[in-house]
Amino acid sequence: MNPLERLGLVDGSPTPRLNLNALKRQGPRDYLMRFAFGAVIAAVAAIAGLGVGDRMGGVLLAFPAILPASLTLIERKEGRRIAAIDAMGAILGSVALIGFAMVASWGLRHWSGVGLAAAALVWVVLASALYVLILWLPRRRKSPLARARPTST
Amino acid sequence: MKEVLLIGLKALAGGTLVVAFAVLSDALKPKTFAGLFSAAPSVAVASLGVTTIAFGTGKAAQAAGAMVAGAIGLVAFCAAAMVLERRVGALTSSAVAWLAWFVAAGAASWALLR
Repeated sequence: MNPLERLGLVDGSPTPRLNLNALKRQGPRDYLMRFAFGAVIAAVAAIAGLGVGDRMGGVLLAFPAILPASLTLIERKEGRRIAAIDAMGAILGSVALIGFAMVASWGLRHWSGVGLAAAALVWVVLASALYVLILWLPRRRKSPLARARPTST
Repeated sequence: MKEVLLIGLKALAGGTLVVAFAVLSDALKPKTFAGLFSAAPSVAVASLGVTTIAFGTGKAAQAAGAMVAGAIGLVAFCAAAMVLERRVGALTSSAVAWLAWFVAAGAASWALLR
């Protein structure tokens, strides 16, 4: 069995899909709370940048302000196991965030604003690649459905 | 006055991008994949974008370089939250994971930015 399955850190098929019905479970208050968290951390990073320097402001750009809000909401609606699964996905997103910061730092100096767009693209590619390599492919290989071959009768 | 306006702009743009990624994350399945977007660079894109427009790329590039340390801290935060969430719940696990962020981001800042 896959180690993630043994730890109960998987939920259904690993193939990504859209489920717009899930949005009906979220109320305006949930999004207002996330907006407030995002706005506060952006403001704190900006104030730190002005007061202490750009370096401190930069470190705070990756301060985990939104994740605790998300984990609390997920735990309330779907339980602790699903919240832990969300945190596992966020580990991969954070690793991709290191790539984003490195490319943004280099790209902004050399390509101006285009460097920021390139960094965002790098985050999408890195996060997706990590998901496919670490979470999707290993489970797909071991899935009995993936191993099944059509038989002729 | 210009500073206050910029802080307000960053807060507005940061909050809006956070909600946009939250909607995307809520609409995606499975949760392992949706979780990627919990660590999306929403606040960073908003903040670095406004800084670039207002002050040019030099300041924004310096902030982005320092963000590497914060992102290393975020990996530690997520790992701690994942391990603790099932045992103690979101509130306690987030509090302990914040400590992990401060330690890891502090150590990375000391090693990379001094």
